[in-house]
Amino acid sequence: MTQIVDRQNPSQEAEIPRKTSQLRDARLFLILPIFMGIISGLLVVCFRISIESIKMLTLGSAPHPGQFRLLLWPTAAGLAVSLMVRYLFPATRGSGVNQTKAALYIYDGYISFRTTVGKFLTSAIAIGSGHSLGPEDPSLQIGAGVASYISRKMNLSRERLRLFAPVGAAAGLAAAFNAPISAILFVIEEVVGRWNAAMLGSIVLSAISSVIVARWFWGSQPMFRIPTVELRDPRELIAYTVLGIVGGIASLIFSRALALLRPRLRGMSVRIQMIQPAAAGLLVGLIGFLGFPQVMGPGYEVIDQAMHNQFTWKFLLALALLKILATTLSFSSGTPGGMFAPTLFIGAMLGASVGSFEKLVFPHLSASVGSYALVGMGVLFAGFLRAPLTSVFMVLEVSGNYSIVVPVILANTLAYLLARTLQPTSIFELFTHQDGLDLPSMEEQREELPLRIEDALGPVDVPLLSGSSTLAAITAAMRNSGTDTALLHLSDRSYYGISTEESNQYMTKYPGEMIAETILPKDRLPVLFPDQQLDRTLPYFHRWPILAIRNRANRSALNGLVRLAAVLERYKQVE
Amino acid sequence: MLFQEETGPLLGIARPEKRRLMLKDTIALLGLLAVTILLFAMTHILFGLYSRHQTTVAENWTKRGIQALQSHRPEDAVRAFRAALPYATDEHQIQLLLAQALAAAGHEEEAAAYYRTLWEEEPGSGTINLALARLAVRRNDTDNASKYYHAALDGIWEGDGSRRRPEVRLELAEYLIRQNRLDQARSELLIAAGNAAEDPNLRLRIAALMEDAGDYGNALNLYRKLLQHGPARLAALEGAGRAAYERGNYLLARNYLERTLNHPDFQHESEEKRDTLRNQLRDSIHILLLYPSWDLSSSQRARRVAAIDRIAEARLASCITDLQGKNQPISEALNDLSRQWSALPPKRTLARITADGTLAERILGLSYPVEIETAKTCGQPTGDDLLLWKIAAAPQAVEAQ
Repeated sequence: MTQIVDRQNPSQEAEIPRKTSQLRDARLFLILPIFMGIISGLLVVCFRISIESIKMLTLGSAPHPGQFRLLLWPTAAGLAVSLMVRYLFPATRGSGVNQTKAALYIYDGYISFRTTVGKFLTSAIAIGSGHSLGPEDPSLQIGAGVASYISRKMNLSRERLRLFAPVGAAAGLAAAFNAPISAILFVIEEVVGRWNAAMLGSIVLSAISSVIVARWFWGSQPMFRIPTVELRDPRELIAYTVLGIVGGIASLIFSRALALLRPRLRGMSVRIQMIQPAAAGLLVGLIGFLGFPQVMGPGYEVIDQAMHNQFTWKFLLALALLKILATTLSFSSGTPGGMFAPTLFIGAMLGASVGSFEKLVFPHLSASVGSYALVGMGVLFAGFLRAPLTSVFMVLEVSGNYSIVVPVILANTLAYLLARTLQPTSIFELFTHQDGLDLPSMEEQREELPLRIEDALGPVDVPLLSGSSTLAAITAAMRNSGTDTALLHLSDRSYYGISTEESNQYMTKYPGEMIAETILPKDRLPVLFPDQQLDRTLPYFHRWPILAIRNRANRSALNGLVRLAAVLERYKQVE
Repeated sequence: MLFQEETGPLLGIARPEKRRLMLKDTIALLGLLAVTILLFAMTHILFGLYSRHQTTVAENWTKRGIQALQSHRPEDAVRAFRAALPYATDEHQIQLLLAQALAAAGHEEEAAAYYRTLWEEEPGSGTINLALARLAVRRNDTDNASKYYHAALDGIWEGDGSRRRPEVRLELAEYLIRQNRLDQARSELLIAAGNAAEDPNLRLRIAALMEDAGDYGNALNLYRKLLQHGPARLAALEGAGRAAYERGNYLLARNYLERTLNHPDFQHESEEKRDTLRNQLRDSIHILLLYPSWDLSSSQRARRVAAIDRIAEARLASCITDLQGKNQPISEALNDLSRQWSALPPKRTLARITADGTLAERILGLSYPVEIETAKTCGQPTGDDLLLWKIAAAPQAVEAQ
């Protein structure tokens, strides 16, 4: 029997057959992601409309330096958001990525409906009024919240409840980015870590459903358009190498700034924490007021301008640095909102700056400034967010431009390695430590090599006899070889591991000439192969003293044997 | 079927629960569907309102930008179009306007960046290719300028290609002339002339460019065609006179230049132009008086040969004296001419020249090279030497008129 416990009504229990429950869960796991995807997509569309509308109301359609509304509205919004977070929606602080991971690993996939609504409202107000934050991370959490709510209402098992959070997260992120593959990869890379085919299928279903909905409204054109890049001269890759190094250093500066400021602000008294979002809003607004309104909000239109060579390299560099400052202030103050858009912004400005400068020094470079900006976005994504695979696909998807793949891979890899070497802890892991949580590091998980059976494989050092051997022969063989186990190869090509103890039991019951195969019980040694994971062997040792490991090319042939002692010894070596 | 049938001893106990669960799930899924539809409808309405507002904002900014552009305030236009772009549903049009404003404001790199993006979407657009060509011209990028001009000529012009293409071709020809790529310019102008509609102004412009490209023959033909139909336009007469003069067809030049000077609008021309045309007319007349045409009687011809003899001999002597005075070496060609001149009979009287046809030819055979060689060595000739030099440059042309 399976007990399904409704988290909201723990006293309510329903008993249904386990097999029915599993079948039901499996079918719902296919249908529900589509609903989650569509609903997440619709909510993300509404979210984006809210942000744009708030921006129009507060900052106007063309904010420019010297406008006092640039000071007023981010401050007021910061105050409002702070009160909302403190008294109404306490779980809405932060970007949303770690909160979704926490839901997955700590709270069995539970994200409350209130948190979802609160994230929508507080992030829309904060981002729309000019805080230097992005909408993607909150969209991820909104999607995860939707999924959590639906799966709770459907009374799914705890295992499924946990798994639906990333399904919804992928939907939310895909709709926000208008890029399903990147969203799927990011959720797998950063939120889930390990995955199986069923989970991947659900994540893909929900992401694609949400993107279809988003594109229904926004259209299917890529987020950024740049001219096609042709890499005519391999020496141009040197220019991208420089960008990769610069991006790695910038990622480090950004990470260190957040690592420095955030815990200090969070360590202050509650009263001071309450005014921090307003203070951050004022400072960000001041940056805009004094000449750089481009750093306010997500900044996608500014990225487009940078890609079209609208700024000098010095101005671009200034924008990159000021955005680092503004985002550090906004995020560290606890204002709800995400890091994706600022990361892309900083990367684009840095890339365009490096590209513009290099074209001044080396005018023969054929790549446009837009292609450097695009690669720059990927560089920061890889170096700062530490999602190397996502960063490559994200660049390809948001630009619809596959000619850029080689420079992207080169620059992203450099930035990632540089940032990883100089700052081993990723930014998300840093935040979880600062929040007092202990979530698994996806980065470390990616690099763990799972143990396989071949890692504990030993030789076939026990007598190997035919199933048609007599009991007496088997006993004698074990005695002569000095082992306490023998392996019998039966007529159906299966194997049976017999111990001395078991053999002696049969000898007391049957005559010594009795053919072993005729009296053995029906169970057989499991069919195992060297490439399978080592933990797969553990359930069998309560029955079998040894496990025969087969050869995939010839199932009758053996590659070796595995014993429990060898398995435990191998695990000890990992520790 | 959502659920599989189960077998076994538990079947009797689980079946009512299973049915209840199926019903519950079905209702839940239907409820979810209803919520999805409702949410879709709300989002649709919200998005509609939002889109309308965005469109209004974009239109307002675009109008401001167009007004600024028309008022020759390109920087204001750039700001307005940049503000419109994030709200525009038709980004293409706004990007095009923004690119035009940037180009007008002198921000060539920025304009080129937008035009290149647009070109990626519409590589066959005549407007975009022309804009890129003009930017390339400003940046002195001759390869790309030529490439984009030709692409503009072959491109799509949204209905007014018959008007725009000739203009583009003439613009290309002007550019090639400025780059001193006269052969290419001439080819383009010939095509333009062949395709040109019966528009006198257009043909006049083509003919003038042909002159600039050094194609006086085709320019003259075009001017003459223009003069054949309708009242004689002053510009056509001037052009015909100039072209004939440059070709060495001085008789024709004299005819056209006389008509030009007698044209009622001639007085409205600039003084410089009037002086030039008068000088050309005067030179044409003098050349016609100087040239020893075979159409003249033998005595008249001999008189002209004698005049040429005196002019050339004096020029040769003065050139050699000048060089010797400056201690400059005398060229081999000049020395050779001097020797040949010395070999001529010393007394070359009119009677002798009249009587001796070969003598006249020998004199002319030396006089023309003397003028050409002395022009190279002792500087541009003046007065009668200049006239003789012009004849020497193309005696067949002068003869053939």
